[in-house]
Amino acid sequence: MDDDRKTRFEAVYRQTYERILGYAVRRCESPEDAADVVAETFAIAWRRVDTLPRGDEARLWLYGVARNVLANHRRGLDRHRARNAPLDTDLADLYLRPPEDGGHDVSAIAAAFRELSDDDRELLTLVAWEGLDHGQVAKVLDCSRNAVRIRLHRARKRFAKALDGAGSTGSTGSTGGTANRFAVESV
Amino acid sequence: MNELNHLARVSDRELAGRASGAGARALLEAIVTDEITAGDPVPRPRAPRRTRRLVVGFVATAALVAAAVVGPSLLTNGEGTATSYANSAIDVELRGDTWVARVKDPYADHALYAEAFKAVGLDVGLNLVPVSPPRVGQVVRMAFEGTVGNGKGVGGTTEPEGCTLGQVGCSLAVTVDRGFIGKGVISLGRAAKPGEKYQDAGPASRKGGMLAGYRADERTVGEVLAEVRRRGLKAVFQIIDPSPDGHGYGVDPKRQSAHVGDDWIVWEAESEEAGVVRLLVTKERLPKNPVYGGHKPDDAD
Repeated sequence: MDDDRKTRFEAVYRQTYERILGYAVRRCESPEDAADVVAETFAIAWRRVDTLPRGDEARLWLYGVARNVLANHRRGLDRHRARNAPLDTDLADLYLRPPEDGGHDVSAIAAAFRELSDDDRELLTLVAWEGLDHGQVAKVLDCSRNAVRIRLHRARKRFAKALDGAGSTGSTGSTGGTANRFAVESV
Repeated sequence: MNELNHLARVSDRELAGRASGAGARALLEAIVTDEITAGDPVPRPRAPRRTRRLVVGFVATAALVAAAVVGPSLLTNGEGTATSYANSAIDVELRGDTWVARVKDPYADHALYAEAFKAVGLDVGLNLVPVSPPRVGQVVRMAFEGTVGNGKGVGGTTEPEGCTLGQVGCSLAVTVDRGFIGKGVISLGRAAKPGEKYQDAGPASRKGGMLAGYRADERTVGEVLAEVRRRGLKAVFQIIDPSPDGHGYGVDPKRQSAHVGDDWIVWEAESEEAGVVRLLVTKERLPKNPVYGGHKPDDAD
């Protein structure tokens, strides 16, 4: 019986690890935090393996768990200092890379994004980053599909408004140092 | 909402294969072999004291090379001098004629590093400074007082020696010769956090650097910016004032706001922060590269 559970958990783990890792890395500011979120999410999944949904539903369920774990981390409830986990180092390279630009003013987008509420951000990113549709978002957030549709519509409007605002203020270069920041915009 | 994709640190596609990597396997192993039994009830709303313990348990289980150290530990050689010391940030131990200090937490309070060296009788300060990826694990600066051998016998390394940083169990480390006397401060390169400025003024052309394989020296700003753009990077300028004799240069903070034209000359491209290079420029072409006092040597990287 325990072997069955183990086999099943391992299968889900292998199928979803990269997705949950991606979810955590995109939302955590450090490899240590991301490693914590991934570790704790799967630890919870193991304890609740009997209720772990089948198929792709498992991934959505795990996003929901990861979301709660992350929220607790942000509230500082779970912070710990045992920080020499190999997973930290395993993830460190993901935090070394330059952000992709592609000609977009990333800092303006980031500034607009920061203005939004946590709820708006989570809705928008579940769609943009995890690639979920309305029905899937509804499962992660445990609400109705219709509620997702309406909230998403509002969140998009608020984001568009924030983007407009960020565009008009214009300042994007960081300050400090002796380098000429003019170039950040001109390149 | 395509704009948001530009804010994503990583896409799932780029993580392909990580599920079979060492980190993922170590975590899986730690979870399924832990004391916690599958199907244990989870208190709701989530109040997982035991889960927290599990995560800490994972840290200890998986960190095979690193004994989990709760408080400082000390071993002595029987003569009252410690031969090893460990706290949450660093381990120091004597191996043969070399002290090996393994950095467990590169973001820790620097006082914890000093405490460990002091415990084994060394007056060594260690600063972990953010550097460009190729310099991670290298000593970027050293300052000594009252030492012999000009700081020789002090170096940056990885532990276990030769391991690749970023892989499981591989840490930054510093080695100090057993005979080291006097006082030293070592700045060792660690990975920079997002947006953190690098503190090593190294050429971006070095292997593993942002402009690896590309020489920016003596080209025009326009040419170099084209390459910078091609690589998806950004650039900032540092306008330099060459010394009259052509060897060396100064930087006048007040002149940095001048507009740099495409026809200005680049003398070196250095790493500013992740994704950003710093171009050292002058308006005129000079007979000697002021950064090197002549043409940049081929092995300058």
